[in-house]
Amino acid sequence: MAGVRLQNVSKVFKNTAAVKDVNLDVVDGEFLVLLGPSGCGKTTTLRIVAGLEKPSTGSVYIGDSQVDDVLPKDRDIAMVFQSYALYPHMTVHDNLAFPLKMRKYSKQQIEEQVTKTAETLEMSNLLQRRPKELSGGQRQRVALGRAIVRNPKVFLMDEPLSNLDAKLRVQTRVELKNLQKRLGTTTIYVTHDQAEAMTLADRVALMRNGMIQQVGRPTEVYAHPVNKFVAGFLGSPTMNFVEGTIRSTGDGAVFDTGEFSFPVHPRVASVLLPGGSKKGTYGIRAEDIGVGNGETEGSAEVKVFGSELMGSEQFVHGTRGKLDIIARAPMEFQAPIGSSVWMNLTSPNAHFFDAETEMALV
Amino acid sequence: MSRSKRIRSLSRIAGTVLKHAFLIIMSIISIYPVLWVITLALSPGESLVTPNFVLGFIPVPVTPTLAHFIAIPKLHLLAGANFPVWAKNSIIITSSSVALSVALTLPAGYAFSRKRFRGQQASMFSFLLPSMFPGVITIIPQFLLFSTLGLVDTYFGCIIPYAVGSLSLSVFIMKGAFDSIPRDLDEAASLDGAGEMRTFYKILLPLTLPSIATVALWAFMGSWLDWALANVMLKDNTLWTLPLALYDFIQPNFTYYGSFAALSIIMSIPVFIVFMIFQKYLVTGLTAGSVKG
Repeated sequence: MAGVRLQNVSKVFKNTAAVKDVNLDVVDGEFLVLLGPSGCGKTTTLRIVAGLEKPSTGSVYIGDSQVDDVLPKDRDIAMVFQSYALYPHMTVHDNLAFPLKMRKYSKQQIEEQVTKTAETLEMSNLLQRRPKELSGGQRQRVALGRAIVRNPKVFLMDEPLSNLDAKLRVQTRVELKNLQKRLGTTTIYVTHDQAEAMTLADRVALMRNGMIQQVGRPTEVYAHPVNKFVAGFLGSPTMNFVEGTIRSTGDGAVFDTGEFSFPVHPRVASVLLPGGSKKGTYGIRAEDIGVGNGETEGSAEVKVFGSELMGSEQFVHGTRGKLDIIARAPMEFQAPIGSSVWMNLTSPNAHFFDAETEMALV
Repeated sequence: MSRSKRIRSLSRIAGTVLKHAFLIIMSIISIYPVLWVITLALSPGESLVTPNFVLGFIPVPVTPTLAHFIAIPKLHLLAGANFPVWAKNSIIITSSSVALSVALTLPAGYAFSRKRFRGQQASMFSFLLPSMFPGVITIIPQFLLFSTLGLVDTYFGCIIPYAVGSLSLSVFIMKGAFDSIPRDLDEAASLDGAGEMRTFYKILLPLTLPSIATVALWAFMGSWLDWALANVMLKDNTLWTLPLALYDFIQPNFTYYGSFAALSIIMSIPVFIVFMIFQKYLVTGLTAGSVKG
């Protein structure tokens, strides 16, 4: 077991910087998820840890040793590929045995390890099959098995669940998390799926344009995003963003969208000096919006243009002027398309982002 | 049955009949000369005989005999050389050139597929260049070069040109074969602890067997059946290959048609066997199921 540390790691491909000055400390035994949109450099970062790419600058440490000049095969890490990368000409047994054979385990050790791994992943009955005779979920398990079979120091996983169907993905997600906790192996997991990141991660590292935006526990990153990008990337539905100006009033502050204005919570108002005003973006999640059929103090009237029923709850899509706002409401809430509802945007959990830097001020 | 339905099914039958008629005619055109060769080989004597014709056009020997086949192993047209010697020469030259060709093709195809190096495009093009000219025009320069090197009238005088001559196509076949194997497999193997050589032998080679078979077959055909180059390089009749011996049945004033036909058939047996053995490699796609498609 060992932690992984990236120190000022950058990677440039033909004048394009894929990874920019990444510093990341993955603690021993931790499940860290690298999350970000496609092309943000998360896979490149993972491949640098694996040794499949050489960083242009910076260093990678596994445990206490610097591994920049260590070949992938000698880094004692295992990787699960998005494509699974199973050896098509070998049976499941031989796929699992391959990393052990390469490391000169004895025949008996190989058999023991393979049997144990197959039992752990409940695929003892598949050992004599070839990859092409397996379903997607089974292939995924073999890929996982090949990673855990030799107890490496670190697991690297590159979107390992993205080829599974939705139901299997959710199920495998839970199994994967349990497995990792049981084995206690440091894991770096790449995904673009924020739900996956939230459920799996001990800590999430959000990346954008090759740079790490924020690292933290999922709840922490969700509740306290450092900037507008992080706020918008995490959570479903996406956080509502309203452009406008926050202005101090006699007894507090209001946010003026140009279309209408609403009072803000004192916590949000704290970004202002008394009597001041500031341009920026007001951010509020669907679950922090109060919604009702009648007008209440401080609420804004919006026209309903749709609602998504999720089961126990629904998301009401309202529009006012150029603004679209999504609010969470109980399942039984009546919001026919075209009707008016009132949304209360005043919440202590709301955020305010600077107009220029897009950094979160609260 | 309605009228339109009947017309449709009639036209479908007509289409099938036409298709089969076409295929039958094409088959006859390709098989007919072979039937003549077999008939000649099984007829007594060396001259062109008039066989019986079944159905008016299928040749069948009048008095079938295996005399030519029995005689061939003992054939002595020229002093010091006979069929076993020529067969041995053919086997040595062909197997060596196939082995050399495969040995040269595999690393070249691998490098072109997996490595990036200066002059890659240019050197790939240089492999293609020879196939833009008819092979025959290189025979004289090759002869001059090889006679300077003292390789005329040696096995190497044939082995080297045969092996190298097959490269222009083979390297491209192997590059394509390696290209079709996802890089993920190389990378997975390297993380599993395999070095480059082991990845090559344990992962890439087994997966490219069909293409290696194609490459070997191509090299085999090129040397087993070649007459032109061998005729220039091998003057000493104890070094002759089977095609040269075969050609020797055609003399200025007489052609030994019976023996010629019999030896032709004997020579085609290995080709037949090799095709049968390699057939399964030539059709299977081994990479199925490797990565999610």
